[in-house]
Amino acid sequence: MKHKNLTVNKLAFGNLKARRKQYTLMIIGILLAMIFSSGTLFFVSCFQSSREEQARRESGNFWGYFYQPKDYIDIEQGKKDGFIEQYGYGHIIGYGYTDEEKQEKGTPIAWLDDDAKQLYYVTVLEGRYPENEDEIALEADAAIRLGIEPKAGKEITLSVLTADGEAYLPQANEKTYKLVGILEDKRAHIQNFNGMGPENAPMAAAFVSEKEPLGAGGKENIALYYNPTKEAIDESIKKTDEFGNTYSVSPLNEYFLSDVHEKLNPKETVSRSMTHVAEWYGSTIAIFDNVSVVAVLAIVLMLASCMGIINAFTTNLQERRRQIGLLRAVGTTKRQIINIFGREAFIITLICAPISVAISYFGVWLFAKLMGGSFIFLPDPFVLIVTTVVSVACVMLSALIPLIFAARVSPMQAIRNIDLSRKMKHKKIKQEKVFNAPKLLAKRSIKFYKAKQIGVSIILALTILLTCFGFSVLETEFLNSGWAVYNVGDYKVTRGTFPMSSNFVNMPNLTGGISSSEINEFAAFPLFGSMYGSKSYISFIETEEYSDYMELISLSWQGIRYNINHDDSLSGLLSEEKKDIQTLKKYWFAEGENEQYNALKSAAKTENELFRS
Amino acid sequence: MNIIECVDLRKEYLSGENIVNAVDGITVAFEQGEFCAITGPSGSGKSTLLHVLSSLENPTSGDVIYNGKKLSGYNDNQLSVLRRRRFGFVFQAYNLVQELTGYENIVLPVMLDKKKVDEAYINKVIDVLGIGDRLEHLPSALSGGQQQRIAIARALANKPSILFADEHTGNLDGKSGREVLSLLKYVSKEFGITLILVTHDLNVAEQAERIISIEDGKIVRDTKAGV
Repeated sequence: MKHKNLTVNKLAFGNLKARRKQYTLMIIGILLAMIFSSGTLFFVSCFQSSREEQARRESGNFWGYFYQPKDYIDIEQGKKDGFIEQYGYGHIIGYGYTDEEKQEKGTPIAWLDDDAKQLYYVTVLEGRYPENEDEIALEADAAIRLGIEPKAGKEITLSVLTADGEAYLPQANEKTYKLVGILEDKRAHIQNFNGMGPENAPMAAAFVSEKEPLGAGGKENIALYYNPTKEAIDESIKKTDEFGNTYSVSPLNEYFLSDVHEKLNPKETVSRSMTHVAEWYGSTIAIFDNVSVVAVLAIVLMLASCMGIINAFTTNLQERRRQIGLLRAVGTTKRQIINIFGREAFIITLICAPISVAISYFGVWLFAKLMGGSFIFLPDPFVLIVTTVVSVACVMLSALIPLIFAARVSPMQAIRNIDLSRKMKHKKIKQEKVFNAPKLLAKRSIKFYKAKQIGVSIILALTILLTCFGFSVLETEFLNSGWAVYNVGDYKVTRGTFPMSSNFVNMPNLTGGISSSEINEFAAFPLFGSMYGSKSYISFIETEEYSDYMELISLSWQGIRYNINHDDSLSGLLSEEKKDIQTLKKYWFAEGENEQYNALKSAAKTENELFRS
Repeated sequence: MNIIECVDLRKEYLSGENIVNAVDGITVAFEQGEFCAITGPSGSGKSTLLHVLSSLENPTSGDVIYNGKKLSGYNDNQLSVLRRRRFGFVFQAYNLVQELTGYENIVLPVMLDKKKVDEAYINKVIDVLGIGDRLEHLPSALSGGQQQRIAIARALANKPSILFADEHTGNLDGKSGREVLSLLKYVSKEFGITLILVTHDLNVAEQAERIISIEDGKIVRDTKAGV
């Protein structure tokens, strides 16, 4: 009779089949451990990429922006020279507004070429991006500022000033567009972000298709979005100034500076290079970059998962000491024992890994769904692979510890349980007068394995403790991150519109903060004639007109900023710890106590003078 | 020619505060093809002697010499290989792998040795033991006698030079015990294997060519049949 050959795999599968019940429980335990660890890895990765994606959606994916760059920047040469990675043009065809008296609430209207679309990272919240003539898409904030309900599908009428190649023609034309899409706000974030942004170069927040004709007698104004090469930013060039001092400058700055110096007439400066806002966002909010948090989390998770797996395998192998002893007795080497029982562990891992990764994937997806727009589900195939490999490695390494101990089982285990009898001798178990077998066995089991039970409890407690610690650190990190400071606020207060802006954000974790009553106080202040926007992510408090007082405020603000940079006596006045609302109010609404303020007050200019300058 | 011998062999156990000399300075040799029974009262140390001889346990002192080589010089791996290739074991509790069929249990040592199964030899062993119709059954579906026959077949699978049997009839009824013993005697002669068995049953011991009696870890009598 022909028989099938016995193999290690067959032995492993035979064991799995025969011990279905025990293995089912074990698989559930391992699955939970793997879901816990892979889920968290996946979540952390998704969280990070979600934040980066969110930053890109809110701030674009470009490093810098130039208005009318062709006057002074040879970007094509920059690309050839290895300074510029990618660039794209925004073709501004006009400036749209709804209220003649408040033109500043309007927005340039532009169409973007393909590269610019990528760099600006156009994100459609509702509807679609314009494809045909007479179609327009507005950023939500721009719509509100224009007094248009940010809802796609209806017709809107704008007064449009046609671009003339430098600014705009004076005569406005009525133009009706179909509002086909609402876009994620970018201009609001970029222009109001930390005082950065093209102050004199308004960014477009209204987009049309490239089929949109330019008004009669017009010429496009050009906006350039660009990303430099990594080398252009990271490398530095050593320079020596006229006094013989050496300093470092990035090749990019050197390139732009040289070009700007040579070609640009400072009076016509209408551009400003910016820090890559998204990158700044990304780095500030990259709380998981913090090594300690990641390390604590990773250690906690690894400990918890590995302990669970070690425990599951130890229990399983403890029950099979006799079988291991038998195999040892008939000549199985320690390595073969590890191989046979490790094969079982590997088969279990192969069953558990895809299931746990799939469940983790689904879990994070579900979480993203429940979180709405604030958590973007961005599965990274690389992370998926890493998670699977880490999970498998985690289980196999955890299984190895009990396997090594199992391999040390004496062959005599097959013949008699000497381990137990020796322990009984050492424990000096007293004879019971009344022999109650179940009770006696239960009592003795507790005695024998007490140490192990305590060990598991200690590790469990430690794991919980570390988890709590990890999350507390995480919470603190999160609250202290720039993300929390700049984006958790209820209100964002700007002065004026695009020419003047400053970030007055409600900072809940700083002393004071802007309370509802203070918002009302702002609104009630004589110079702040209207406030639109409700309690939401961003609301604006604007002046009815650009007054001397506003000029004073802005100049005082600029003056203080100047002094932070250049005057030690005033430095730190607006440092982070003092930048509470009371300090801000002092410089905004009350006359300053210092000479600088008074000097600025007397130097205040009129609105017209300011715009001219 | 001696296939296995021991010199001044001692095996001590710690029992509470006391040291128990399970094997107390035994020197004995076994010849190739010999059928020897080790007998003695319960706790005399006969099983311990067998375990130390067969390398299942390490001696406290003294040497076990197999084929002229001291086993004290072998590492764990070498001892495992020796047990697998040169020794066969038959235990009182059969000790079959419950998850494997009868046939798989038989060829287990061959699989561990990564050798090809010698079908002709295994079939001969199976025929001799009369278990041809029970090979595809799991041990749980076999009687005690059948399980012990499977265990004997497994012990013979790698063509060992010594077969150690430890109270192999202890769990069997009288008839099955006699049958299994006859089989052991037969296969040891048929395949030229040294048979060393431990028993407290004098009826079993009387079947052996040589009887070694042990008391308190010492040999008190060593007799050969017909002497």
